[in-house]
Amino acid sequence: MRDQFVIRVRIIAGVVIFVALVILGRLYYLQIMHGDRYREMANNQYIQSSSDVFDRGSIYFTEKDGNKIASATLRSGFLLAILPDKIDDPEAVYSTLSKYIEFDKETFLARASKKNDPYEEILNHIDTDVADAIRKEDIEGVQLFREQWRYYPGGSLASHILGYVGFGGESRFQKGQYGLERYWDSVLTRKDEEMHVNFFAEVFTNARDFLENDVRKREGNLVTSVDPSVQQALERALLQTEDEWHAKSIGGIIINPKTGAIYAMAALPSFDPNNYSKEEDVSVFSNPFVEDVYEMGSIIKPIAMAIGLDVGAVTADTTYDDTGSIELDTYTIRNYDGRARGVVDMQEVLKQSLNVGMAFVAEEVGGELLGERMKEFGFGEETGIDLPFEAHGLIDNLNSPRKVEYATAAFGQGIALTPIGTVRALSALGNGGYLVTPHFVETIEYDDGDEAKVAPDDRKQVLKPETSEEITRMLVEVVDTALRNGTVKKDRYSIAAKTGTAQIAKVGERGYYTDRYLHSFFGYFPAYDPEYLIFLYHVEPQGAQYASETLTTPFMDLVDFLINYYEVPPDR
Amino acid sequence: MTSVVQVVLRQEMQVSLGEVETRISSLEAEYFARSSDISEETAEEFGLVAVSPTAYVEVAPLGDRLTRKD
Repeated sequence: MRDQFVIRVRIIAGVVIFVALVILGRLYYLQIMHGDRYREMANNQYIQSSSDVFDRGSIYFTEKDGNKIASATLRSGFLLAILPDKIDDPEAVYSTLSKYIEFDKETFLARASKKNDPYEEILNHIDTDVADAIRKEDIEGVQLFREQWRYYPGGSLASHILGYVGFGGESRFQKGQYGLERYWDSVLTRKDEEMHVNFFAEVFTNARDFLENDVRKREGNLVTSVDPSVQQALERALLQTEDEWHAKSIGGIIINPKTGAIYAMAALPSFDPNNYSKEEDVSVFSNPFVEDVYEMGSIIKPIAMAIGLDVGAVTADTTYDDTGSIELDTYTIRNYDGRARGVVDMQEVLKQSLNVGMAFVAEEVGGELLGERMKEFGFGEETGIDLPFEAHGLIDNLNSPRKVEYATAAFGQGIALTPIGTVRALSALGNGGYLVTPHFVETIEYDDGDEAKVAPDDRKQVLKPETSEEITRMLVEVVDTALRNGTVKKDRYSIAAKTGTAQIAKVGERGYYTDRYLHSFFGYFPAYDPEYLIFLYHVEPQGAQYASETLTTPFMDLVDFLINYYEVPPDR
Repeated sequence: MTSVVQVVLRQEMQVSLGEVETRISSLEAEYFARSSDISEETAEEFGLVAVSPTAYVEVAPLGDRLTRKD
């Protein structure tokens, strides 16, 4: 009896030892002999599966009737990969696949020949119909995996606003790299994305969420003030202007000066965020409205003039003797044409854009006070727009002990501003005298059903309302009687506007180029209750010296478009 | 067990949701492409004509009568 028991124990022990040896042998084979290969295969599977679960909130444009159109959304399809060690005849496989997809033959054959490589990705973003057709071919060593990716239905439309999503830094997951995608990344990113990569992790996390279901996720979709039709109209106007004047770069914005809501913003050259990796020059991704600074020139004159009106230093009827040029601190300040105008008033200073007149205003206000008041317009600060990498203006000249710096600042030279900072300051001229925060996102629609209004509503008063009205009246006079000699004025609509032609400062040395200019143009309407402010600029346009020559037509075209599109009633 | 079923259901719904989103994004891309093609020339091809000079009706200052302005 005892002998039988001992035999049974030995048999069982033998079986256990045998099984253990088999397992150890298998483990040795898998982890020691072929460990690297299987580890790589596992890693590849792991990396592949993350694209299957890519998820991200949408960004919407808003049409004038309130309809939302997705400008950044998700798209699904398939990723085609091959297992080289299972492909015996790469030529035949390529021949079959090439009936459905376009792929470089040499590259395919090179990848298919990597017999030590267990997994090679060939092509992604394949449509479902094509994937179905390939699957029916049942090709050994060819695999198709479902994937999702970020998709921008408008292509390059509003690319500088949206930015794009891509891999960056050390993250295994895609993040917003530019534009709203980057600024609002924490709202758009789906925190569960990483968890979904692993089925079991998701199971356990679901259980945790069940036990701790008070965790409130702040993930959602962005609803912007950008109107796709207005955006298209702006981009069309910029393209036409670029075709005609061949500037190095060009930009434009249409904003509500009373709220800071941006209807459209565009810059050229632009890019297609669906194919951002094909861009050779990464500088194209930067948004010049917030990242670049320029000496803006004469469009700053109305701001300095408004300060003069606000402090009571001048009125529209104040006169001075314009001699064509004046000496300040050993520097000579000249009118754009060097000609004297004799005794003229402040209205004429804006109509003829007289530098000597603005030097007179600076003198009347006093340099220190002018500098302080110009700083109140936020020139040296960021505007707080919801875009990344915002720069601030370079305004050291507003701290100068000399008069000449204030005189030049009064006509927009010697201080460099971001276009968006300029637009915010110009908005205060027409909206009753307060600074707004330019912004795109009006509302966040959270995934849990909540909705939050996030549009900033902070208003800093920088001019008296009556000053705002007076400078507006003076700028309307500019359009009605001076801009192209009054030929572009609209009888039924009051439009306040001013052009700017600035010399471009030399890089690395003092002085300005004599043949390179920045043209700018801003205007708002209906002038006394403005809903739309248009700002256009281009750098180094060819074949014309003055902004009135190059930007009046696109500005007035956009005014016509907005009047028709929004059915703006006449105001006079 | 419930959690496993939920995860499987999520994955199935994610696939169908992705297909619907893809269809919608295709339509939106088509919308953007077509709307960018609209011009006066295309409008005329559809038989549309430019509106004659707009006439405005304005309430007189006293509000007691209407004045037609061409």
